[in-house]
Amino acid sequence: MSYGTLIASATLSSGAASIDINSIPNTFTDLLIVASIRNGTGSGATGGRAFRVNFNGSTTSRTTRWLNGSGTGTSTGTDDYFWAVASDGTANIFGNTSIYIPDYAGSANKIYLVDSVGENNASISELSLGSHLWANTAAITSISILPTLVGNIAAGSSVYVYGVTKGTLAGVTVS
Amino acid sequence: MPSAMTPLATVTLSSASSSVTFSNIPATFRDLRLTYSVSSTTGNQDIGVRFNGTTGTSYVYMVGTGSTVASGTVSDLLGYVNAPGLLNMVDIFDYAQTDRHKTGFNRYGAAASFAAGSTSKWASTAAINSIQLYIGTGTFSAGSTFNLFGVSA
Repeated sequence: MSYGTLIASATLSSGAASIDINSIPNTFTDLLIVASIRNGTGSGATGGRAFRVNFNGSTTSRTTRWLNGSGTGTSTGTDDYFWAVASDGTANIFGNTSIYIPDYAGSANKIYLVDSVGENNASISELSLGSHLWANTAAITSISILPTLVGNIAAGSSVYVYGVTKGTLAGVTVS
Repeated sequence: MPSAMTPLATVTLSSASSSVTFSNIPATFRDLRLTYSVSSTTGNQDIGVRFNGTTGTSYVYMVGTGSTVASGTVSDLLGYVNAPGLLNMVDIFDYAQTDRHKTGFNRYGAAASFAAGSTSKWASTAAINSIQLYIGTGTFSAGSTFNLFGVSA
């Protein structure tokens, strides 16, 4: 079973500046990106846990609002990133992230949702929800996940990109 | 996280409409995932949901944004519409089980202003066979899209 049609995946055997998926076809309706991410060298409660996803190599035209909650409070911000695990987080723990992009190959600006969970050390676990806009009408053909502020992507980090196709099942109606 | 996702229905509005209803939903999946990207003709609005045409106070919800948390029992809050297009993604768990109430989790946001998550419950053990989304005031704009998926275990 899978989340849709697996388009491509990548798992790092050693630390790298980013983890990339290229040559994404335009034959699906939506994209679901499932990532397991850890910062290899960047630590810190804020810096090491911040990651972003770039599309088609673009780093501009971004608007974001995220909501973050831990066991002790909530926060919100507009920086273009989501939260995973820093290098000084609990050993062998990776943050789990889901990125859903509807109409990724369409000609409208791209809006997408990011859910991510992670932990900083044994006393903190976090959930973040993010609403993002990439104001670009190009079809998405590549994605790149990388740290926003410090460090690199740790060995063992992985990304899976699934194509989701909308459609109709016989008998289900819409009115 | 969904497992296998089967497309069940999709619609893009060719003209403005105050509601969209998915009917004849089969009971052969475990969960449902509903995604919708919408604009409204009347600005910021709450989006309500009715399962199997049921109205009234059998729904409860809790919603959290960056600065507030709210809850209620008057009507279900599963989403929000804003201009420009806003993405909502709703998971409804064990929708066909007849031994439990139905719960849902929604995340949505407008990148320029907020991100939010909401949880909701429909206090009924009936299997869900129809879902209606309706807007509080006004209409969903033409071009709004709605997609329903069945999620298998």
